[in-house]
Amino acid sequence: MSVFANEHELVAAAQRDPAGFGPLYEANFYRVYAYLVRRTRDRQVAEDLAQEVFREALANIRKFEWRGLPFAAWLLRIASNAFADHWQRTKRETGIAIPKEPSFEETERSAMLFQLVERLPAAQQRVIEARFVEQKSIREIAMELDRSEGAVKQLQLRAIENLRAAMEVAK
Amino acid sequence: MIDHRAEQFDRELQAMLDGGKPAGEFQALLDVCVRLQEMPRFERKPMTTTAMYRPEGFKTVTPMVFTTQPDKLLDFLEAAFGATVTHRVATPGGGFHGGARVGEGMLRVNGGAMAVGREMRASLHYFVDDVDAAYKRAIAAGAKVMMGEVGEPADRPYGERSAFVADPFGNQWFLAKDLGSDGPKTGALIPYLYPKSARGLIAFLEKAFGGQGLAVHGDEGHVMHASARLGDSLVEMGGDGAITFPQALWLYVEDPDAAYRQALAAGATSLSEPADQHGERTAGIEDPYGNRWYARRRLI
Repeated sequence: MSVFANEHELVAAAQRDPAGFGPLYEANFYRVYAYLVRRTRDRQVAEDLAQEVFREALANIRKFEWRGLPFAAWLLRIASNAFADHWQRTKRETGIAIPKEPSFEETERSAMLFQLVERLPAAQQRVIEARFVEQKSIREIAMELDRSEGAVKQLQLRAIENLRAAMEVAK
Repeated sequence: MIDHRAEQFDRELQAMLDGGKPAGEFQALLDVCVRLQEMPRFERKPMTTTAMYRPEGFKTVTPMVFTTQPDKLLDFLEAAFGATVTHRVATPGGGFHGGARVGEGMLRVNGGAMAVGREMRASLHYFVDDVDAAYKRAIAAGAKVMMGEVGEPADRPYGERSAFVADPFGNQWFLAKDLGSDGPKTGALIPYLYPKSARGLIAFLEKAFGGQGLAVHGDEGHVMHASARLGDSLVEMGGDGAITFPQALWLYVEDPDAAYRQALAAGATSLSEPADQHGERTAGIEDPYGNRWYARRRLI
């Protein structure tokens, strides 16, 4: 079966018909978000800006041209501009210097980690989300999952160990 | 039994979450946790402009085929109908997402290894300029005529010239041209459903999705053919229940969560609760006749 999931094909498909944009969004959401959360240090703002970035990318996909860089570089440039605008709008008065660009490797590592969380076994994934996104206590998670606190701590440790191992392999 | 390592790790993690710095035996693991603190919440906001709730080129209803040979089916669509393949994407675990524009309609072609034993075929009423030429091209590409001579191109008493063929993957194609002036135009791609009861399915579509039943043809109590409007799309159905042939359809709506609730209230069973997936919010339900509807809207 000939399947081509490479970037050129995905971009060409989205340029022919924006309906094909979904896979590009899926492949790059965490990257764009990771970049923005590193710069904004604010999940909510990073999520909002990430949506803006993809809206703009979708609107301009037909104008995109290959210039020897990965598609993500184009998205990250849009993200960088979106962040600069956001900074102008909200922080101009404060006199704080604009936070510097995170390195590409930094962004990639975070994006990979967020992606890996989605591949954890369901119970481990739930514990990670509850603990780090919803900031719930072990006790609250134990009640929600109807397990002992000890069992939740085990799931937590196993999840982090799995993530760490997967990150090492990917390196 | 107490797992001391898990207990100790949680103490260190809690200390870090409370503002300490990662150190000691668990440092490498706690470094991962530092990054996890920046994880996105899993609620991606839909775009606010309602015009964008579905991708360009998509109508309310899009038929979907779930097949073990999606790549070959796309090749067939190109050869037989001059379809334009919009994408072919392999997904992790042997899955496949694909699609093609057939005339004015879109056809989703998904599946791959994950479709084994779970295939869903489609039956489609496809309007073309020249039925005889379209028939020849489809046969040349590997389609087979259905119902022997009956399926060959002919003028039908219901006002269209049509030919009936099955592609090598089990999908049915009713290639047609309207002989009157008020029927579907060239390029229309209309799903043809086979519920046990056409009246029952129309009642369901009205309740679940705000559809509108249109013409019902046949004797009293015996429906030969019926159709219903859903948004800007038409679905047709053969209604005598002699053949049942469940199909899968995408349904672009403004509010998939509401469509899901209404469908369940109208007697559907849940296939998948509303969730964000591939840049869209989607929910799956099975109607009382086994057809699968995937209510969805785009998130970006």
